[in-house]
Amino acid sequence: MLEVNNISIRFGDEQVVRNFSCRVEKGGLACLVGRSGCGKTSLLRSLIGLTPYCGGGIKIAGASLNESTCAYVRKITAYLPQELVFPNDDVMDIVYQTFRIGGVKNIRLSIPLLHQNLSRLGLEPELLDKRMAEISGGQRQRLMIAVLGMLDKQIWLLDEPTAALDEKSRDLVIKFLLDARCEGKTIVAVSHDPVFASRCSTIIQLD
Amino acid sequence: MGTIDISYISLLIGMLLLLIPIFYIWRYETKLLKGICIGAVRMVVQMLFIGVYLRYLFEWDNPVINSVWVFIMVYIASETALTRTGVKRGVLMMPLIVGFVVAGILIGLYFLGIVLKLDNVFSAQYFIPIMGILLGNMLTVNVIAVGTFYSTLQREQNLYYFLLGNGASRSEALKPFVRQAIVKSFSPTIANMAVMGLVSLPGTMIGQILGGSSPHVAIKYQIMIVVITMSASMLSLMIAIQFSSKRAFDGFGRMKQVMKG
Repeated sequence: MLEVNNISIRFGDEQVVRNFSCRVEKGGLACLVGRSGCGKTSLLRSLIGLTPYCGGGIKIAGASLNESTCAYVRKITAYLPQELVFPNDDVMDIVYQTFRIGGVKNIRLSIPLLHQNLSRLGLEPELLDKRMAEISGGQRQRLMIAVLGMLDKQIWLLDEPTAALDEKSRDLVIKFLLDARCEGKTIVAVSHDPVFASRCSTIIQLD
Repeated sequence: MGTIDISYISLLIGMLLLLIPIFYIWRYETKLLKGICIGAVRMVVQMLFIGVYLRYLFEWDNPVINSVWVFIMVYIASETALTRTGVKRGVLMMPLIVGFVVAGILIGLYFLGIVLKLDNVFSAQYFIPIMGILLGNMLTVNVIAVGTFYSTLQREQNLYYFLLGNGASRSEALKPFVRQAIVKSFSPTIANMAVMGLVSLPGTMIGQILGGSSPHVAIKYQIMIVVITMSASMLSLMIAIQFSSKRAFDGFGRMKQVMKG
């Protein structure tokens, strides 16, 4: 489903990732681990062409990643960065906006399903009546996981999905991801959390 | 009744009022002191020169010379906007010029040719002041909006990449940033438009009334000036953002280094 073949990532003079390869099968839940600054986020972003890389290549769902295929790859991928700063809009505006973008225009927003996903992640539906600035970082992270879970994407790329969460919320997020995996989603997540890593099917060490 | 002239001594006495903003700018250490002093001197010198230029332009009244003059104004406006936004020349200069020229010509000629029904739309008496007022407004809006667009984009890249990474096209992913730029640059104009005539009596109207026109004529001109400046500002802004964003991103939609320094 996802294949990284001998790529390197460099920022100016600094070589962040060197000759790295890995593979994640369909339905896998892979955890990308390594010390801070070793290039985990850069590698995750490079999978959908958001960070430049050199050397070998990346294949997603059979498509070699390049300028002409990146739009297709992004359409089948859900991506959640770690620190997501939204304008101070209503939460529902952000939800609607996510459903209006090109990759998911054919999917209708189902409010009952959204409520169900929020509840599975330990969030109250009243959260949807607030403004983005009124909800915490952890709530924002789970809200976006709930929303991305509705986009019917084959591959999920998540950057620290359990960061800034208490134990109970973290367990709910892990269960949500394991359920998605059972439905055939392929998930790659960057994480420093050993509990999260222990529940993944594959550990990708990046050092 | 003719307009009362202001003698140079009276002008000097009047300009003493600038000491009020200069004092507070100095007192609160805003780093604008040098800017306001240079700006005031430049304004006086430029206005004295423009008096001379305009006399000759009006005398010759040649469409080619008038157009060249307007293009010089466009170039200076683009240079000024480029400096104030802090965006790299290679990214923004040409889009600004294209935006100012296209919006200025389209909207300006629409007003002069269709609304005023002038036989000669390039007549110096109309063409140069109308292009001047359009360029002044387009400059202000573009400085605020383009600056906001690129600085917010740089600061909140994660939102752009979140949208892009989830399948948005580049223009879809840029939408929140364009929206912020429009809100920031047009809010004052819209607020001002809503109270025009009640709270504010705008410059064009005052100028015409002082120049001897009837308030009835002055009001109609003022309404049209507001309409054409808003339209030209929005059109030039959209052109500048569209064209510059083609240069600001690579084939993957990744943002290049667009700000200077």
